[in-house]
Amino acid sequence: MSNPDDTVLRSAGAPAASRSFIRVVFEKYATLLLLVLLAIGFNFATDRFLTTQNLTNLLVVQAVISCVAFAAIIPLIAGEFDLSLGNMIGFLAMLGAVLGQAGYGAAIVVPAMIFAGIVAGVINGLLTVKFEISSFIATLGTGILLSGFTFALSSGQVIFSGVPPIITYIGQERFLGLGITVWLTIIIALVLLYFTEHTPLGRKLYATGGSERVAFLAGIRTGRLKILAFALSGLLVAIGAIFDLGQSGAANPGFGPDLLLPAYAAAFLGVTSYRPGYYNIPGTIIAILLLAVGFNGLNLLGAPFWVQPIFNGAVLIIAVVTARAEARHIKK
Amino acid sequence: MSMKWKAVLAGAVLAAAIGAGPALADQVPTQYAGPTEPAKAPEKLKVTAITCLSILHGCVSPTVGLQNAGKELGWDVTVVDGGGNPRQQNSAILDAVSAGANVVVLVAVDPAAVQLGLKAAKDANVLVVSGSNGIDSPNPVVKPADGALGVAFDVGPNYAALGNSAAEWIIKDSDGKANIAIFSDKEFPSVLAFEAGLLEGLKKCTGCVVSPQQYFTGNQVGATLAQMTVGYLRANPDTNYIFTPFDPAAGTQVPAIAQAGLADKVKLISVLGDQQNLDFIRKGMVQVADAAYDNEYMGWAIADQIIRALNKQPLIEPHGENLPFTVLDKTNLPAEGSDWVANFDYKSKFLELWKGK
Repeated sequence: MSNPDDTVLRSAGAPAASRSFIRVVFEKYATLLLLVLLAIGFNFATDRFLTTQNLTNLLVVQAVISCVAFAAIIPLIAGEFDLSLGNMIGFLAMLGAVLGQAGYGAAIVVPAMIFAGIVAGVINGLLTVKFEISSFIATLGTGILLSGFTFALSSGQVIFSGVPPIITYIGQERFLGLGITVWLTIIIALVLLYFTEHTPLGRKLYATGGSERVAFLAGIRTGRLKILAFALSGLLVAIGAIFDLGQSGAANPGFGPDLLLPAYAAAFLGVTSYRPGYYNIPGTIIAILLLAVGFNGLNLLGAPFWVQPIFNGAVLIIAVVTARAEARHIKK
Repeated sequence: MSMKWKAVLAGAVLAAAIGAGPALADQVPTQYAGPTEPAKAPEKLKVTAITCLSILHGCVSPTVGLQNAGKELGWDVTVVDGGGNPRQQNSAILDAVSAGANVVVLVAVDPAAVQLGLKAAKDANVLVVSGSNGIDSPNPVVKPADGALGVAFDVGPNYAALGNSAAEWIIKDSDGKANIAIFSDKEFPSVLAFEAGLLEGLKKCTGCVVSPQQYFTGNQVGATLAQMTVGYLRANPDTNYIFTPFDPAAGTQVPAIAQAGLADKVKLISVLGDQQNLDFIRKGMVQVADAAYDNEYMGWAIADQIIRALNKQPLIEPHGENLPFTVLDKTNLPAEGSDWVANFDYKSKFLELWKGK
């Protein structure tokens, strides 16, 4: 027989628990809620939205932008910007295409792209840490430099022959119904989630980004950590470049810079969920999906081309303003 | 002086003025040279047209022609922005496949760079065609790389012939003394085909000086092309003509040249027939000519070839369906606010073939 007092406590606790649940949802998952509402809205508006074909198509084109967004948030966690990401992915894709055109197979092309990405990242790190140049300026400089290398490598041409078949296979084929690049992106996200939140190195990154001085006084070698963050960023961009080369089947000298702003938009929007106030992997994924669902749904509805940037901008501003208001509320 | 003599004198002055200028550029072809074989149009068709970048008029205007043709046939034609990059163009093709499109039309979108989208379209049995790429007849046919996918056809003008017409215009305008700087962008096969015709035509001019090509890329248009152009003109002060491969690029060069105080030293010619550039010609602001083609016709010709492809009829040769083109200058500009269109009625001809009237 239950204690009457327990019953009273439970009945009083039930609304409190549900209020707490709702509060957690609004505080930590407002963007996810918006994503779900948007998906429901598009599903009512068009029967083409919630189909297997559409959802798998929607996911496959997010692989490249996800890699660039992940590459953006690792230095952001450490308190630094990397503005070279757009030009870097263009350069690395072009490097892969040119090597492929020269007859090299995937065994050379893939490691070369990854190595070049890491080297570019390390250079960004050294410029920021050793030469004490603001990462904003240093990475802007390396980005412009890389765009010059891209033009030089390509002679201004689109390179579309000789892309190693394994790269196009990864970019265009599916496994268990989803694109291979989607599976690989999920694996990368899980590894990054574990790295950033469950390893001492990841926590040190957050500590460095929170207050470099305090982290340094606590014994963290912040300089090395930042160089590592930039190198990891270069590695992630290289993976994104491999995905892009595989999906497009070609490298265009103009490709890359247009990815920078969407990647940062996803990173900033990601701050509003999962761990509000912190750059984090799950929040970034939710943000990427939110923007992707908006783009896809509007396309399916045949919205004019100017609606999409308005949607993206509005979502970013509303989400960040809401998150700031919520953060102020929590502080009070 | 009597009214009669005044009229004669005015007529003589007008004739002299026209005669003194460059040749009134001819339209090619001068009359309808499109298909003559009937092709019954399907009644219901869902078509998605993907533009290279919807803020560029030249990317959008063929889709307007396609929409106009589609309206006559009861088709559902949706236009989607390709965003100027392969990522968004791939995404737009995938969305079109998801939306249940029967046909995807790529306008100035390079098929070589959207393989993911083309594969999805192939898997879903969706016909993919293109326009304005210059990769199909009457232009040199560019085949996909090994293992890559292509489009069923590409409708475009004869870029080499248009380039040749532009060369003739320059030779005539300069009295065979042009010192011309050729700006070029190797990203686009259509530009290369046009340039081949232009350079071939300029070979006829023994008194002309032709520079080595000054290459730039699309994403330099808004950033460094203007500086590059002014720098070139300062380093090569004898240059009196500039050729630019597409109007949006010229749109950044013209103000830069004017601001640098070089407007009276150089004349610019570009390609596409965009409104802004026609306005430059109208105002006498650096640009003096524009090699243009009928983008409305392109839309109708794409619709025609789609019908034939779906009916499994032979496609019309050349695949560009003799798309009309011309060189526009101050003497033959269309009315302000209008695009240049051929001066013959092709729409009723196409409708007759499609509807059997």
